[in-house]
Amino acid sequence: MNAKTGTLVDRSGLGGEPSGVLASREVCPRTTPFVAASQQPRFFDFAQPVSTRPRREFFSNNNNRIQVAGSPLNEFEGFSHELRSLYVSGRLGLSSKMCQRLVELLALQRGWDGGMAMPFKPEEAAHTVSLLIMLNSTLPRFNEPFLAPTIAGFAQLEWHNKQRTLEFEGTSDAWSIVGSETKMRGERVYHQADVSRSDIEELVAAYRWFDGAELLWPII
Amino acid sequence: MADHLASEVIPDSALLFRRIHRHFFDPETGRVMSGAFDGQDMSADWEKYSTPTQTAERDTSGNTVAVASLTAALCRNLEQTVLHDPLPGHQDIAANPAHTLVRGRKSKPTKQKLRDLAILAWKKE
Repeated sequence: MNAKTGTLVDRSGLGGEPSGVLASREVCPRTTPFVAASQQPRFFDFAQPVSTRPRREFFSNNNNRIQVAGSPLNEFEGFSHELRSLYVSGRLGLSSKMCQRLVELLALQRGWDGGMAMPFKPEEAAHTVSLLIMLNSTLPRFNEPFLAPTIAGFAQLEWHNKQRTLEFEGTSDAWSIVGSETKMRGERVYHQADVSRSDIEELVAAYRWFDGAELLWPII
Repeated sequence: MADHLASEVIPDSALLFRRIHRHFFDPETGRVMSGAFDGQDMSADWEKYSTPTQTAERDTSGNTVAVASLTAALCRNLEQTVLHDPLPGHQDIAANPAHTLVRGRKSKPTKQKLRDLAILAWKKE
């Protein structure tokens, strides 16, 4: 995202109208002609068929570091493009809204909050996609969360229902999870746990608790 | 104005206004994410010198979509220190005599509690 124009620019380093990521990488060098960011649509339109989507262009400088309006984009180039391809393939299982949100967060620059916030870490986007796909494929009932960046560059996922809330916040090596619930007398109770990103059983248990399938907070 | 730049003691009953960035606000549900209440030194404005609207208008980037209010006592109960930190003006930025810091480590439950106890004081149309 260009902080000044609010325009998302493809950081993939790929140009053209690819039929597949690998194919487009082979034929599209980084020296694609410039197109003003302000003339581009704000986000990928995930609901639009690939063949009719607008051509994605980007700026680059002479240092092989892609820049938009003088600001270098995050590393992990190509993730937003991969995300679009995964979405189009229908294998991701995530909504277009979620995919667009991820692309939007990936474009955040340092100081996006007007202060000292860090850019959204690309590897955090990968962890988030991995978690959502895992929960979506494991649970019989699953609703997508609201996704936000943290000022440290990690992801925060939040689910709400009438009685309970569940939050996953990325850290350098785990998901920091907080569940809160309103008890019979109206008091709010908070539960906290740090769970390894690979501990699928615990991650699923936390969501099952939120969904009411578990009465007691399941993570010790 | 000069008088306003002296730091004062903020009473427990005082309201503090915290700007909410658009990335921390779910427009579909109207909910604020707990991530909006992060940072060792979290900035807010003291009601003595600011209204919620004025707090929102101090952000010229257009990214503020809401302003939440908290009492100083609530912050102090969560092991935070509330410090009046008036900011002098410089260049094109006006002085902010209302500026206040909510200082302290904010664990995830602390951020959630701040969010759960905050009240929406202003919302972008």
